[in-house]
This record gives sequence, structure tokens and C-alpha cells, in this order.
Amino acid sequence: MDVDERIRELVEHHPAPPAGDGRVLYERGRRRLRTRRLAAAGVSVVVVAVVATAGLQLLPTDEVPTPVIAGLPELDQQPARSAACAQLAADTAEVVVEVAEHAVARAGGIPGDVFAVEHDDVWELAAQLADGDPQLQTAVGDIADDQQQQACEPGFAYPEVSQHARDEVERHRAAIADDPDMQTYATANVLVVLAGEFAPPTVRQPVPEGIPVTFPVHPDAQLVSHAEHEGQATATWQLAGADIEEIANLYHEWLNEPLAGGWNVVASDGMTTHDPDGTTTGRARLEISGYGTTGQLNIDTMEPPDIIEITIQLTAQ
Amino acid sequence: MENAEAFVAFYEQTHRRVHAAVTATLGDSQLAGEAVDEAFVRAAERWRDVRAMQRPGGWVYRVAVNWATSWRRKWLMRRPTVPIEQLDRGQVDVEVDLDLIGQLQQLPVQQRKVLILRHGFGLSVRDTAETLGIAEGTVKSAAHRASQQIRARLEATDGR
Repeated sequence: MDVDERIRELVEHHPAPPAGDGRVLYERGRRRLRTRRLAAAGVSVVVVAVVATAGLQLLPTDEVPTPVIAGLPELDQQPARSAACAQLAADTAEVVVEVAEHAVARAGGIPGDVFAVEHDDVWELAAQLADGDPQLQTAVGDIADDQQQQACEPGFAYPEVSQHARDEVERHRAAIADDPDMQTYATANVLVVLAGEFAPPTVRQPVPEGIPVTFPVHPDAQLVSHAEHEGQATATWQLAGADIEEIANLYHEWLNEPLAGGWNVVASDGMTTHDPDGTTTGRARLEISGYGTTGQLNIDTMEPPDIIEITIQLTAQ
Repeated sequence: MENAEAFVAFYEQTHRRVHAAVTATLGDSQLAGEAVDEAFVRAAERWRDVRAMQRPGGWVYRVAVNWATSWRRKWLMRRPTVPIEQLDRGQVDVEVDLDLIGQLQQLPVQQRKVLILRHGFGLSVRDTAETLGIAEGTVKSAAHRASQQIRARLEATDGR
């Protein structure tokens, strides 16, 4: 038989691989897409990859941006390991998501901001958050990979480790119960990638009181005024050396989150004029909703026109 | 839901063949399995585009091989691969052309991809070139050179 024919035979008659689940892969792809869009929109992201073989780590709540993405240990497909890994995931997943939701709520978000993703996706997310820095990406991936190996090694002594994990989970539940103000939040031996360190430079600044923490503030904008009263909050920032259309486009992108309950641009209008000297003047207005609020975002040129004023007015629903 | 159903149907139609082709290209059944899963996830991410392609199976194959090649570069020193001889001889009851797979591994990756797409998937020179994003002339020369090399080596092996 000739080489060409042997290659055809090789592909046609190769033993069938283990049956996979196309729907699971489809859902995983859609989740990745959603996460990518979130990251592109400048949303702060925490990636939490869970392994339950070591103790708890405690992090101050104010270090927790939203949303939180909790990565659960992959259900290993190798038969020799699958039972242990699956059980491990089941033991820890629930409590980690629970903790993440507490943390998100405390930070001003909504519990729905918490997603569960597969462990493998940590690599993908690390790549996005590292923003092209291969050293950083490898560092993040290394940690994730080592943790998974630790949990899912062949010969992994499941009963002992499982008991340890269960003890930790119980200790963790008790910590939550004893600390209603959630001064700290605990995770079951997590890898945490804080978006503040790794995200692209468009990540928001802190917001004033009364504005959901997820509201995007341009990194170069200066807060000039702020007021909050009976569920209504107003804040104004000024931004020098900017173009109104560019800023309006940025906010339009940032406020279109593919997230249930997240920011959404309900309507938009505006009028800009391009002057012969190259400057652009005018106003853009976005009607927005999200994170339990509705309101209006106005973006105006000032005098001189390269100063842009951004004003948000929000009312709690 | 229509997209999900279409994707699942595509997966069920193409998974076995793509897996076989990637295994033959990599010589590592386990890595092939991971690479094919990864490639199908990426297909799901871009399903609207992938669905509209002329040869979506070829695209998945290419993505899987590229992913695995990159993965190997990164992790070769950290995780031993599982040679197909160990996996297949022990676990399956089907005759696998291990000599051919072994010889394929001696070729540059690009030549392997050309051979597999041309003869494993039955693509024309033009379709192979489009799938791999290379010139038709490159496909012709790579296929010719690779076939000759493998033929000579297999004959030498058989003659021993």
C-alpha cells in the first residue's frame, strides 16, 4: 500500500477516541467568550482557581473587585483520576462560589457576578489579563497547573485529603457565620489574580460613594464634584487632552456588559461638531441601567474643547 | 439553541476523524485528546464564523495541532508525553499503523499537516493551502518531499 493510502487508512480506521460531549465544549466556549468580552470592557476580574489540598487564605475584602470568577478544578477525564477529582470539585465548588458571592455583594456588586469556569480556562484568562506579558502569563499558569497537579496526581490519597478539604470547608463556613460583616473573605486554597495588577491600563479608578463599584471611570479623569442623597448619586469628572467622540465610544463600550444585571446602554444620542481647526465639540448622552440603578451619563466638551466633562446621575431602583 | 444543536451535530460528525488526524500528526494520543477538545472549544467561541467555513473540520484540525505544538514547546520539560505505542498497543484492540505514525513524527510539523489534510482528510491542493494559509506551490512541494521521505524510510525499515 502506498504512503498516501496508508495515511488515509490511518485517519479513517484509527480507533475511536473516548466519547466526548459536544454540548459541554460548546458551553465552555460560550463562557470564555463572555469572559473575554467582560475583560475587554474593562471589568475588573478576579480569577479564582480552587484546589482543596491546602489551607485557607484570607484576603481583605477591600482587595476584592467584581466580578469574581471562580475556577473549579477540572473534572479530570482520565478514568484513574476522575472519581477523586470530581469529588474534590463537588466538595469545594459550592462553598467557594458562596464565598465569592459574599465578597461580590460586599464590594457593591450583585451575586450574579460570580461565574464558575473550568480550571483550564484559567490559562485562557491569564493570557488575557497578562496583556501579552508572556512571563506573567506563564507565572499565573504555572501556579494553576501546579495546583491542579497536586490535586489530581495519580496515587492522590483522596480519603485523607478529602477529609482535610472538608475540615477546611467547615472551618470556612464557621468563619463566615462568625463574621457577619465579612471583614475578611476566605477561599479554599485559591489562586487569585487581581485585575488591578494584571489588567490593561483602561481599568477603572475607584468610584465615589453611592456609585456601584463596577462603574467605569477613565484612568485619567479627575473627580471634580460628587453628591449622594436618598438613593440618588451624582458625580462629575473632568478629563484633559481628550476627544469627546473617543471618550463617548469608550463609555458606550464599557457600559455594554454581556452580564445579567450588569451595565447596559438603554439609549444614546448626541451631537458633535468638527471644527476646521481639528477640534470636536458637543455632547453625548447615554441612558444606562445596571447593578440595581438607572440613570444618565452626559459627556460634554468644555472650554477649551479638549477638556471633557463626564457626569453620571444614578438612581437606585 | 439552534447554534448549540448545530455545534453538537458538527462535533459528532467530525470529532473522530479530527482526533485521528491530530493523533497521527502528534504521535501522542493523550495530548491529541486535549488539543482537540481545546480546538472545539475555540470553535464554539467563534461558532458563527466557523460554521460558515467551507471546511470547518480542517480548521479545527489546524487549531488543535497549533495548540499542541505551542503547548509542547512550553511544557516539554515538565510533562512527559505518552507515546502512542504505549497508549494504543495496550488499550485498543485495533491495528494501528505505528510505523507510519513514527515516520510522520520525523517530518517537520508543516509537512505532517500537509500530508494529513491531503490524504487523511482528502482535501485538494487548493483546499489544503487555504486551510493552512500557505501557497499551493508550498503544499505541492511539501507533500511531494514528505511522501518521498516517508516512502524511503518505510522501505528501508521493511528491508531490514
